[in-house]
Amino acid sequence: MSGTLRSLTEEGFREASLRLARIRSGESHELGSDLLGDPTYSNSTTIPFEPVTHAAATSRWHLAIFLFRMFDQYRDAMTPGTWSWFALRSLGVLSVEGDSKRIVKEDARYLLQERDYRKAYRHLLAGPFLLFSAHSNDPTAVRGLLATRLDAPGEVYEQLASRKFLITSRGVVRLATTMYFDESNERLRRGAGGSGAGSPRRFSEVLQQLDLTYDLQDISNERLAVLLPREFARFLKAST
Amino acid sequence: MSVSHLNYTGRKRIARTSVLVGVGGELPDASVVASFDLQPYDFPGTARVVIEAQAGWTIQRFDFGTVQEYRAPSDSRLSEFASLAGLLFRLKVVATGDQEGRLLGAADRLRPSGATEEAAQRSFVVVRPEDLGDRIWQLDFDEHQPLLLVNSGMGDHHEFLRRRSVAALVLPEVFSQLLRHAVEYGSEEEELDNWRSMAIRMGEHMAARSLPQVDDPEAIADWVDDCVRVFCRRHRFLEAMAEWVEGAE
Repeated sequence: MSGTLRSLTEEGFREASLRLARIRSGESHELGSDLLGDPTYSNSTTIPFEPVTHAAATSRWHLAIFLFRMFDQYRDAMTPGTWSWFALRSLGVLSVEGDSKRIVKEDARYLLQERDYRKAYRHLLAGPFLLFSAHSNDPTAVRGLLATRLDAPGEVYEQLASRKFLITSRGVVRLATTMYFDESNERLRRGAGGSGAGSPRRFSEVLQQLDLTYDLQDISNERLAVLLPREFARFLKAST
Repeated sequence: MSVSHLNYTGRKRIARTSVLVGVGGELPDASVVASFDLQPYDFPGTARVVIEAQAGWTIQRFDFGTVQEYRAPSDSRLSEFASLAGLLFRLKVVATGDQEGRLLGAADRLRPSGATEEAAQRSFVVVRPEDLGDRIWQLDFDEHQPLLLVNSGMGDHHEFLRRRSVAALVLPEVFSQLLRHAVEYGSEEEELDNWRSMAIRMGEHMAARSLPQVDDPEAIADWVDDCVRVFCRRHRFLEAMAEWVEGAE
């Protein structure tokens, strides 16, 4: 069912945080429909939307395409309030049903904290949208950063998205995709979720060092690959 | 306890006082305006100078030519940004040739000065409105800095000077007067931020030669002419006037 987005008010943010905590503790199972419709908690907008479903978006990559098509023309009107309302509206697909309770992660996954960059990228809808938008001239470069389930951003994304100078570099994201994403199977390679040698975490650490010496915003993925230490050889080899 | 950070990269840290970067106008026509003095850092002349504007996940790069040949970008509009909230700049000096892509110097986390293009071009020039009768503008010097006075009858003086055709007519003469004043009165201090020192260093950078160290008015005048000629070329003043003339016809 399509409709128009609403935008969480300040009171809505506070209430949503309380209700997410209740779900997290098992005290409650749902947010409650009043949170999404009550004018105390949200205001109406004219931005149309289609609901996020598992059929429409089987991975964060498909989610990003879905959101980009839907909201690119409204990007200036998309606010933390609208993103947050839409994430709460989509909570069913952005969280998983556990044995006895819904598993809800930290607030930042659903409530966009735009002013806190260390948390903003974690938003489960705005994150993929912004990443896709930032590389919309060459979107497949970010395929490997968005290869996970809707509710689980994964290590490749987490390690790069938390640093603006990495996530905005075409060469960096393209190389991450080349190394960690298995295109033929459309999933991350084995080892892409760890923290050992050649892992995304190490990739991020090495890139932070290289940023002191190279212009990472303008470096090609091929040139960057040559600069990586040997620990990345197995991912580089797997990609050829 | 303080922690020392050692720089093993060979990259030079460019002092913020060497860079002035700001935003002229407002979105959607806002554009980046910048001036910098890289003379003290001894970078190779062929190294590229790039300014990156960043807000959120958006980064837009502007190519400012090379160390030896500053060239303002043909399109300096901040067209990638929906909002300029939290905008920061980074200036990079990047090697070319065998060392392609290597970062030779950088100034990080530069906040927009909020200056107009003209003020940004020369941070040491204060621009202000003044009742000048029928005179349109006048360059004056107080104890500390040059003052560019604009007839208050021109309305918003920043807006007035932002017009490219006006800038093309006014700024070369302003720059020429600044240089002549700086040479005549010299620099009493050696600090890099003394405006006369900055003006002379900028002139030397533009003319690609040092200020003649002889008491020869003709040699000085030639040097100033060279500086102004390069200044006009970099800012494409002829193109600006041609556009204006074309529009006026």
